[in-house]
Amino acid sequence: MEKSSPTRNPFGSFDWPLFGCFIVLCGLGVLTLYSSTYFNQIHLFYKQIVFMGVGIGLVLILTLIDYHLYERLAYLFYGVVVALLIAVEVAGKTVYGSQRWLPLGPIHLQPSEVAKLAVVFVLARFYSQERALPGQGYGFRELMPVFVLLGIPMFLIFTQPDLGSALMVGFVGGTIVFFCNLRIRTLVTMAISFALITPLAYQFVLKDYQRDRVKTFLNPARSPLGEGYHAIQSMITVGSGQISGKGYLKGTQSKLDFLPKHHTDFIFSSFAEEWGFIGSLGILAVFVIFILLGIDVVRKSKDKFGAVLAMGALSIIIWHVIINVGMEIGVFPVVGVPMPFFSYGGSSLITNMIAMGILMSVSLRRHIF
Amino acid sequence: MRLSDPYNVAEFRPRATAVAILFIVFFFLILVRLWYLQIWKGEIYREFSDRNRFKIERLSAPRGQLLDRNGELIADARPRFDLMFTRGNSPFPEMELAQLGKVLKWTEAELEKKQEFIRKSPRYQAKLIAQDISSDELALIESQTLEYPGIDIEVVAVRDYLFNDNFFHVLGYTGEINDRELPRWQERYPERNYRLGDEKGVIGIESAFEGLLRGKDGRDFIVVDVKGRRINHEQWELLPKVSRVEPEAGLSLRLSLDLSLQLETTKAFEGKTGAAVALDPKTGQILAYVSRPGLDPNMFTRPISSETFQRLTNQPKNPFLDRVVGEHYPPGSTFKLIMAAAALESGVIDRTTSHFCPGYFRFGRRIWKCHHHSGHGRVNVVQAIERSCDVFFYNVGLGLGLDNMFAWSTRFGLGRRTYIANEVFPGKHDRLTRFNSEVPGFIPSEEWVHAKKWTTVEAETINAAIGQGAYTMTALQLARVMAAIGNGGLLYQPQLVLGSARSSGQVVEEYSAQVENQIDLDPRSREIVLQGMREVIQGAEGTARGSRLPNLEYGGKTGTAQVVALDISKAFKRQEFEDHALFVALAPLQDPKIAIAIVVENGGQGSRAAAPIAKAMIRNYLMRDQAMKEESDGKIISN
Repeated sequence: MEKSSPTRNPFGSFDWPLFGCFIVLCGLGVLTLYSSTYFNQIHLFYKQIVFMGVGIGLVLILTLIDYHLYERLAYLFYGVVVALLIAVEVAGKTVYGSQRWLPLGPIHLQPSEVAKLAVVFVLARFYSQERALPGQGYGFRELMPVFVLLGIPMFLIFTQPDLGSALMVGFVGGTIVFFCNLRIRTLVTMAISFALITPLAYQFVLKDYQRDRVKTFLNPARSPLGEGYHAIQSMITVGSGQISGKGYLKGTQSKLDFLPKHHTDFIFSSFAEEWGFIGSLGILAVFVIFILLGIDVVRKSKDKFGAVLAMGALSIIIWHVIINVGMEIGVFPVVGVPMPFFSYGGSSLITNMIAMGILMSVSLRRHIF
Repeated sequence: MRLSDPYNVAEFRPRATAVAILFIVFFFLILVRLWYLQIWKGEIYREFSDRNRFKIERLSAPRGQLLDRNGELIADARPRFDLMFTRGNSPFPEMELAQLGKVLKWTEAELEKKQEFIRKSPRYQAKLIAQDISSDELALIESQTLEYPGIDIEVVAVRDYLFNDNFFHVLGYTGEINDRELPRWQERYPERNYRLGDEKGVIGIESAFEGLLRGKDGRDFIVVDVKGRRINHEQWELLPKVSRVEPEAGLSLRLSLDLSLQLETTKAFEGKTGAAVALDPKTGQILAYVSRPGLDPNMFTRPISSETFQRLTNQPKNPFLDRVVGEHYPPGSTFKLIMAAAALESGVIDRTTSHFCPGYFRFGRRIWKCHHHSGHGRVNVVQAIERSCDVFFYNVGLGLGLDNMFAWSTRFGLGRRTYIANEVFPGKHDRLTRFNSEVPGFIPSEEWVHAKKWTTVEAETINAAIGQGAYTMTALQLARVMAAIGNGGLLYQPQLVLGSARSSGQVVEEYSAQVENQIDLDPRSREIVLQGMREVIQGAEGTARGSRLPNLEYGGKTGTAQVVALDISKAFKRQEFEDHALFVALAPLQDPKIAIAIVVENGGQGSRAAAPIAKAMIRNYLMRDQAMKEESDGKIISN
């Protein structure tokens, strides 16, 4: 073990490309949000500017904090989050027919957001010690604790009910499990059993409105003015942008409210409407660069906890993007997952900012050994 | 302090690459989908988004105005404000309706009915909840638009009749097109774009000249939000402007009617049932056209309930019947003028021919009475007209013969439609241009008598000679006969429309009456008939001597048409068995300017019920200037 000598100047290894990429995304987000709100809800834009400033500050602070702090606090944090999720079940504030918010004075905490982070911490802590047999990777027996750690928050979030967040926790956890030396045989078995369980879960676990969403996703024309309205209007919005878009501030679908939630869940459609295929391609390219830089952080991490933590943080951001955009272009059911750095709303922005901060923190300490 | 093992990091590297590849594959799939939506199907989706935001709003075109012969406005178009309610736009529809109910003064029951109606309406469909609200109500609602998010105000141009029931039958009225009529109207006037609930003319000029009066609706492409609300935002200047098509008002029609005369006639008809029509003998133009009872056509610009409609149609005196052209009456003694002209022309009588009237007339075994039971003594044709002697004309009738009377009646335009208002579409005598279901009346011929078998030619001839029996004619036909006598024999198709013009005032077309027939009338015969008519008013024994006008000599003829046989009407003294009172007039006698025919249903004697109306009309039409002149002269003197 080398003796580590903490650098006097921590910004000597500050990850400027990753941070630059992040700032570009934030800038695009603000630009899009302005276009989406200037028409009749500009106050939301100003609010989001404040959130954004706080968020970027939070990223810088978290960059400076040694991520090993989370390793020690992982189980405690996890426990608190699970307790909060249970509290939400009991005393949560109902918004849009589901209990997701916990009123804590002026702040309305959304425990399902924090749960994503808790799962990343606790899995990183779990995997930081090698438990599998050498050279064989993880099998079902070794993964039992992982299933329990993932399953508890997923179940609690799912019963709120918040299908989108539950799936997010599942995707993030799944990515970590896949990343951490999963046996190929186990992976195949899991994929097969997933394929078998899905129809059963659809039939017996999902609530009526959730089933409706899935049905509508499979065939939006089923109820063009009801459940399928979001999906159809969102596809019209994206498609009507054509190659070069309608021009900045000239998107009609979003301005005239044909597209609901055009400043929150459906903000990518607003962007695609105004900037067209070329603009969308640009955003995706920035995110691909972001993925490559993020994966680089994972690969260069000097310890296992850091690697898993960085992977978890990166996957939180990227799965948000994939599920959100997939939903907006009609390839994924409408589940209410926001677009990181773009969608209006404090709670999910903070989650993604924390994830970004963790990624930066791991990156900063890649040479510190 | 470090809990994890730093040595095994390397084995994560391939998996990290795998995760990166997985993410990038997802992004690639997103890109493919974006290409599909934005490039492959982009045009279709663009079209969808355009259809989303543009709404075509119809701009209701006003109907053409109707003016009298002097350019006075009779019927105009006014905006009607209707309230539409869209349930989906209102957060609390029931509360909003309750609040609206206070403004519009709905009763509790009405409010509940509307709430029920809206509850059952589709979420985003605008439903009509109040029609023709007053300007005060409109102002109240518009000043608080934020309180009524579910309400939209629709402006529709509707007819406004300035003189209520005065012109009911001649102008007609407008009603809404229902789904049964719609295809027919669209077929008839394809370029007029009829839609359900549009205004259409019913009866009268409104119906006959629908094609001229109806305007062309305009269109406006407006930008709307998802709730269908118009967007007015300066930033929308960024969007391309889309053209607006202005509505085009219908042609305005200048009618031959004289407003003041029409009003005076209606006033004189107060409380009576029947028809009065006045023609200008020189031009064949209709100056007044009154049928009573009438209705206020304004009440049809709102939808009326079927009960109200039933109540109106089931009156003993149907107000929808146009008694000027749609009903025919026995002409009674007014027919004696035609008899006199025919007999003089045929040489059956001359100025000096006289017959003795003992008060009755015996033919075969039957006796016909004269209305003056003690008899008129020996009378010539002028005296016979003056005193309306039946016996003189029984003799004239037998001298002429039924077929000769038929021929002369035909020459005077009886037994066939006048084709009133034919000047606009001359020669197009189909059902569409037949004004107010004009009836032809009836004149009997010998052939008809033979076919009927229940009467003899002689009996029919004697009855017909005094305008009884099978002879029937409309008030308009009668007035036209007067006009022909007045102008020396020219039989016009009565003219109702003088010209059409655009709303800008630019004249489109001028019309003139079509001459239908030129009667060969010896001026001497005409002179004799006119002299008889003069004596009716001016003569010591004239039947209408009570209706003289100072300073104006005019001619007339009274008539009384039996509704039922005399013995029945005597046995049952009932209003509906009373005789119809008739009166025809020409004024002034030298160079006549107005020909009048009046029928007062069940009015009794023509001299008492009908002649005063004619007197009022003549005074109004001919002495209007004189009265004004006298007035102004008086002023000059007093100054």
